[in-house]
Amino acid sequence: MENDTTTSDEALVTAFRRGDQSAATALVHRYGRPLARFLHGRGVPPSDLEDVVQETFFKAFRSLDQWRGDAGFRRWLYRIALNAGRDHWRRSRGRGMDHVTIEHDTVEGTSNPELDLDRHDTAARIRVRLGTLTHMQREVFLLRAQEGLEYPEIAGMLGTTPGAARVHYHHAVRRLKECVA
Amino acid sequence: MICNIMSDRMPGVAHDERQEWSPGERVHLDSCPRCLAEWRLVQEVSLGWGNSAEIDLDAVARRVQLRLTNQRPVDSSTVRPVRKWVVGLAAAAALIVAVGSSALAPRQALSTPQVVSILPELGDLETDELEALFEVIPVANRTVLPPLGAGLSDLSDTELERLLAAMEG
Repeated sequence: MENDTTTSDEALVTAFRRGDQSAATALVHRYGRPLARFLHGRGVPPSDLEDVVQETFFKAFRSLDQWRGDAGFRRWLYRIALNAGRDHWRRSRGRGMDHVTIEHDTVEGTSNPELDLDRHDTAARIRVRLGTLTHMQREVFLLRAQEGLEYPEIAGMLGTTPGAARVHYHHAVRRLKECVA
Repeated sequence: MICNIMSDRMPGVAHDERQEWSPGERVHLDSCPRCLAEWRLVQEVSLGWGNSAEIDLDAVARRVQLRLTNQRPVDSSTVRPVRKWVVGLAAAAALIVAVGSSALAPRQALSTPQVVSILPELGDLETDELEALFEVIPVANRTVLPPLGAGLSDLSDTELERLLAAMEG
């Protein structure tokens, strides 16, 4: 079940509630990496990612009774991750969430060192510019561009409307595009 | 118009292998600097930033299972009320100190930020612990603290930032 891509989130949650521990493992495998990327994009350093992801899943499974099936499991999980990220930020004041750092940034390497360097510079510029956006612009942009989520889902996570999320995204893109032009 | 459609499709094409640009869209991408820059940006963020976010999923799953197993079954029914009770005591103590301070300085009105800043350890509380505190602490200034029953995740950016600023002094 670990790498199960066909069973729905709801079915896995139901299985977990019935005591099937492998369903929890399947959900960790399904969402662990996207969550790590999501949290890393918000400034959680790689050395802390496993802990924050672990905390997110622990809180999610512990409070499954509070999950109403009408909001998707992923949306609910990301909201918990946002809170876990904020908790991490409070614990590590000054080096956290809203100060997007560039020291841990790496991009996937190619066989061309010049191209790698150029991409690294571009990634660094984007991260610095991300830090100048408003909180909502940054959150919406990362959820959309980095995670590929749709506006209604993003709006549900951030407590806004799909239309407002779209506006935030376009404002963010307009400012970030200069980094790659 | 096509630029807006292209923009909407970009995250999907970048993330979903089943989605791809049509020949017409490719032609547009090659000829529109605005769309090309946005596409490069989305590609960069969607594909290039995963490297340093690698985690050991098996280890995470094992630790989560272990924590869930070690969690006492009475946790939700017994521990939480006790924690609320302790947090309530802490809040009451803070209020006593605050009232005492304001009595010594009668011209200085008691405000919620003052109450909160008296407990510096509040900044170390987890989100759910803070929410428990909000349930028991008297609300002196509704513009800083959320309405009773509201979760931290329900706050707007401004409200959350003001709350954090108030807690951090």
